[in-house]
Amino acid sequence: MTHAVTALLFTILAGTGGVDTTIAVRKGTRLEVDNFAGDIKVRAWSKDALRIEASHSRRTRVDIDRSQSLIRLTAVGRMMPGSVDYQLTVPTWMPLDLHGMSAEIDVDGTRAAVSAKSINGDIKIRGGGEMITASSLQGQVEVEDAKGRVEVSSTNSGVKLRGISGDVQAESMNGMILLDKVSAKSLEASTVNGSIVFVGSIVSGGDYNLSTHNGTVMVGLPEKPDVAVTVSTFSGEFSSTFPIAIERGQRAGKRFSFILGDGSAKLELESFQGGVRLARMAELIARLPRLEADNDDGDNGDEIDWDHDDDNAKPKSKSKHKE
Amino acid sequence: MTDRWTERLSEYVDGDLNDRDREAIEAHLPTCATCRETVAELRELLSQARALEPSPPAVDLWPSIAARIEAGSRPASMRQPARWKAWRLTLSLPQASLAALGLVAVTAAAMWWTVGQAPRLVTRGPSVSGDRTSTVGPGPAAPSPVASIDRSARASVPTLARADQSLAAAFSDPQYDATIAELQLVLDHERSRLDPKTVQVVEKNLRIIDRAVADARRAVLADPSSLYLREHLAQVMMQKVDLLRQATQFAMSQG
Repeated sequence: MTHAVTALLFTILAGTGGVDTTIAVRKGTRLEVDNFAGDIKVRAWSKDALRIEASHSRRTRVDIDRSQSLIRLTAVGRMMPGSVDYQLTVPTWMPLDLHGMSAEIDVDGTRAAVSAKSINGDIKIRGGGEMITASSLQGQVEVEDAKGRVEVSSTNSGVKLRGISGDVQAESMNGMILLDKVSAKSLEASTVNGSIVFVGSIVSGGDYNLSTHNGTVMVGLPEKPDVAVTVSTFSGEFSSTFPIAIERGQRAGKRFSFILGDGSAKLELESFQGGVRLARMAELIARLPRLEADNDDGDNGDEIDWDHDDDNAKPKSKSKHKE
Repeated sequence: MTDRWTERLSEYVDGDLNDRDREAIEAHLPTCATCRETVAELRELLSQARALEPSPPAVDLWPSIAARIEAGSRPASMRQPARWKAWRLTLSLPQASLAALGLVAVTAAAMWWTVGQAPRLVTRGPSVSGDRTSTVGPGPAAPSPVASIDRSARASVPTLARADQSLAAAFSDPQYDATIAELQLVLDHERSRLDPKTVQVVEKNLRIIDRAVADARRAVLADPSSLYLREHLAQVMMQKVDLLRQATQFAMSQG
């Protein structure tokens, strides 16, 4: 039987209050975790084995369904949805599919694909490869040191990507998007109420699109960029530390274009009612810690007043349309 | 295939380029068949657009979509709040999911109808039907999020003033509002599945996106010829659809 599946069901019944078990796994096996509340913490090791440590109440149990290519952990409650705090140690090659209602999801050290979804919790992924997707309705989403395509979104908080090698799609509704040391040939970032900061390499032939409704778009470029830039804004201002001359014919209504260097990459920047700022990479890197701190404090970074900063000063943010 | 001149061809056809860029494009055209073809299409399209008489935006797509919805997965009672409770008692989760997916598809179709055709101006040749809407683009594109709009064509539309008028009118089309209202209705019905904190977050973000949509609508009203503003409006409208769809999915996934 081609799809022969050996199904083992371990049910760790209520009353134990916890699980600590290690299962040998074959390469290619995927891990799926479905939790209600409680944290999902994943660490990676070089063994071909999965260690499951779970703590939960007496009213909850953890079902471990195992087939040839999938191990699924499900938290089951007697009357209510099950809530479990997981500490999982997985092979670095094991693809992960993690879901939680109010779960904080924290993954570190994997080199495999990761899919993480939470409604109310934060998601933090360090590592990951091939395809990394993460979304949260309420929580912040952070991905660091990933190699592969990254698709992330947070509805009500910010998104931070750092040290990414691969194409990126980042979205938010009410949060800032921070893209630091991102090397992508295709990058798309959009938010409604928040700023977007991008510091990374611009690849020849690359396509970069950053868009916000209410916030500032800031991009740090290398000293000699080769990029064709299009800026769109309804009521915001554009400023640049690069010398730019915009000629008649390059401006169409609220949109204008110009070319830096050979224009081999395409950069589209849009802020409907915020500013758009092109800066040298070093200038923006110097401001990143403060921008990030503001974001962590719940400031979307909308309307950052760059010109009033001294080198290490905090960018002043006005709370326009702030929720 | 596009090159660095693709986005400037419309300006070239309109005579809006400075001398340097115009000369550069004229030097480029003999070497690039794609750009030559695009220039020819733009000139033909411009000529046809000039010949058009003003007419109201096409709105007759909606009845057939609505009819399909009524005949399909979604019960007719959904339009009747008084009967909502009875419907609720009989609707299974798969049926509700199907209804929500149908609504999303309808919304995507409506959005495509209102905004998706403008960016096709450069890449497709005009039809010969004479109908305003079909003149703008010859055939349906797959419904897609605004982020996937063919950006290479953005610079080409503002010159087509009459086509713009119908497009701008389409933005205030009640079809979109009706579709949003129906998605909202599904969400309202299912909101008891969500925890109060999640409901709060969804409502807060709906207010944010509503404000953005209102901002963008006002801007389009003030400057209907701006392609950028229309694209931005379309983008925030789609973001609202996405948020409602996401919230509905969250609610339904709670079983």
